[in-house]
Amino acid sequence: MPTASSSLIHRIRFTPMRDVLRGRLTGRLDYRSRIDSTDLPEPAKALVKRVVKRTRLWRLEKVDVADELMAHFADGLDSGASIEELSNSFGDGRRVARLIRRAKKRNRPLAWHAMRYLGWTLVALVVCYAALLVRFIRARPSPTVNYLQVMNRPIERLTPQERAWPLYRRALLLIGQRTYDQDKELRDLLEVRFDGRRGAELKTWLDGHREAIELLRQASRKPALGFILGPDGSVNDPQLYPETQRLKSQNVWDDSLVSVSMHMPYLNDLGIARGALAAEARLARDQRDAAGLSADVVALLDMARQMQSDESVIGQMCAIGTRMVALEQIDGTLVDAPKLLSEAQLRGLAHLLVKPDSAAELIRLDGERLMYCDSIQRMYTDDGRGSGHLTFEGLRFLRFAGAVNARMSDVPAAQLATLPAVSLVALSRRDVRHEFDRMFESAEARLARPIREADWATFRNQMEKWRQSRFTSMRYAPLTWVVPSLEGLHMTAERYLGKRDGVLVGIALELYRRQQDQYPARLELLTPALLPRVPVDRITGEPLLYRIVEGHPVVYSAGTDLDDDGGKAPLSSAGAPDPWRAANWVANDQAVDGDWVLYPEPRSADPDDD
Amino acid sequence: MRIERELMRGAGPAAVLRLLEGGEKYGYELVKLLERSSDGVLAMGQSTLYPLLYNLEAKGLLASRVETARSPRPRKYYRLTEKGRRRLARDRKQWEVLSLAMERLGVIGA
Repeated sequence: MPTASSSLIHRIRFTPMRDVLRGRLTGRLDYRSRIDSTDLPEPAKALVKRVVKRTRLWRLEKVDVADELMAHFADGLDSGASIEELSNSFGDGRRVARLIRRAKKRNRPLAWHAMRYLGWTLVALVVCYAALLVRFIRARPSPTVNYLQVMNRPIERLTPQERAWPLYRRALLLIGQRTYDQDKELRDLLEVRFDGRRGAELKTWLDGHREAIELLRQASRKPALGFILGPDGSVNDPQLYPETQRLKSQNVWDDSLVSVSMHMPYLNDLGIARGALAAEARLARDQRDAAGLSADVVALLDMARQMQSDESVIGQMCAIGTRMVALEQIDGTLVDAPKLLSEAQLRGLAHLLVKPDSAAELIRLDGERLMYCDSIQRMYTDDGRGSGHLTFEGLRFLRFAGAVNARMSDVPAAQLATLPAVSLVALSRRDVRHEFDRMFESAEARLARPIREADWATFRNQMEKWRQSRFTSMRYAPLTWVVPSLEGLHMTAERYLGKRDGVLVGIALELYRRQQDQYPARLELLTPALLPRVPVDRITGEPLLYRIVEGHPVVYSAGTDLDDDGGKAPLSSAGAPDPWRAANWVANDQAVDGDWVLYPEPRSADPDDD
Repeated sequence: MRIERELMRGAGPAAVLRLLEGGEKYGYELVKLLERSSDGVLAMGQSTLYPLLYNLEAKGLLASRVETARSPRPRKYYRLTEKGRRRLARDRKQWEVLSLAMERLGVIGA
């Protein structure tokens, strides 16, 4: 029992809480004082103190053990045994303490055992997580294939005579460097109608850039574009692209294909070239220059052909856009100057429009595959057996590619804490590659079919499932950033093909009218002499719809509402005819009332309304 | 004769349970009884007995109480629980079967 001289703090320290709450500072958990207060011989006291201390038990347990051992010694002495005999028979003090500790711990409450188990589990989890964090941060991807070289190889095999880019470059230098605003200004100018208020300005511009436009025509006749990709390729041109030097000096541009795809200024420049050729075609039409018009439309189609061979989907989309511009010129000519182009010229243009004839021919995913393979090798380790795990560098790459949830990047601490978890749950290199190949094969199969038969909904639903929870979002993050655009690509291609079908029918109608001095009562009369067959409505799968409205033919699809509205296109929010609104296959939007008019292009009466 | 630890590991608990079958006892008392009743064969010191008692108590085979009335100092008495009794009966049966088997083999009683 504690002596009267024990300090207050000492007594508080060795008093059970129960006694403290009752206002009694008993200090009864001080086993040393309890032992000292007995009349046992000093060797016995010392032995008991030593053993009890070594047990490292709770205070109450120590007191219990101390009492029991002291009682044992006392009973032994009372029965006549000597202290030496009792000490000798006691056994090894360390072993005793260890055995007593083990046994006493077994006696502890279930809650204690549960907490201990939980504690060790948490420690194990923390250790594992720390190991995972170290593994994650230290792991480095080891890219082995230079996919940029792979992409450039067919371009580098071209002879200088086969490459269009040097001529485009000269044309662009003649057109001149532009700021962002100047570029937009020029694009707007190139689209104005000559009978509008800025028509004279456009004509002046075209007259002042004759040499450039002729270079564009010459360039379009080359077999291929010939633009070498990458920071050290054709964009490494201080005269044309001074910005490139700044990017390289700031190390914001590496040779990953994702980075390369973000720095393709030639596509923007070819957009200007396209606009210039289209404006020139419209001027030729206004001036009744059939040869010039035909040459410019052919140049547009040739430019599209060159862009078509671009490995990137972005380039192929630009090619479709260029083809669309060519269609607009033909469409406009058939309406405004139907007799301008000769039969041979019309048949020649029709022949050029027949191919490509499917989305799969317009959109090739080879470049995307290369880009993805490059991305994988920059995100994952390589275990030499075709697999590996996502790295910290990989997640940074995903952020760069715009894949990772923006919320993560807003909270650095949370991001750091969850990164190892992402590595743990993300698909392995082998699995992501397998999944990617599977999805792209599936997408390519869909692109080979009309969009109405492609069942993109299944594809979309798969993506939605992956984004449903935080867990699946993290797991499939390397996949979700590339796949969603494929349905949109298909729709863009189908829109072009639908419009193309309309223009082909428009050409056939004009040729029929020239022969028969009237339009046919139905489209079947155009076959087979002027059309191989009546094109199919890309939305319904039925033959395209046709009627004569106020003496003029209208060729149209029933639109996504599947309802024949007599060739009336839906209106935009500004009240202008907008046939594309009736050609929206993506299910999110409700089907708009109206028809997808394919020929002629509905237009506003106001020449300044572009 | 010194018995091997592996044999003691099985015999020790059974011996303690048997001694407590006759009523509650305290630690030193058990040490002496074990020594006397087994002619020293199952003699065990405090280093073995007390951990054994705590283990049996943790398994619910024994229960303990501290008594202050019978002696000038607090003394912990151990007694068999119902579970302990069942365990003793089972151990007894096993030892009987084992002894019979050893006898038939000629290991003992030869």
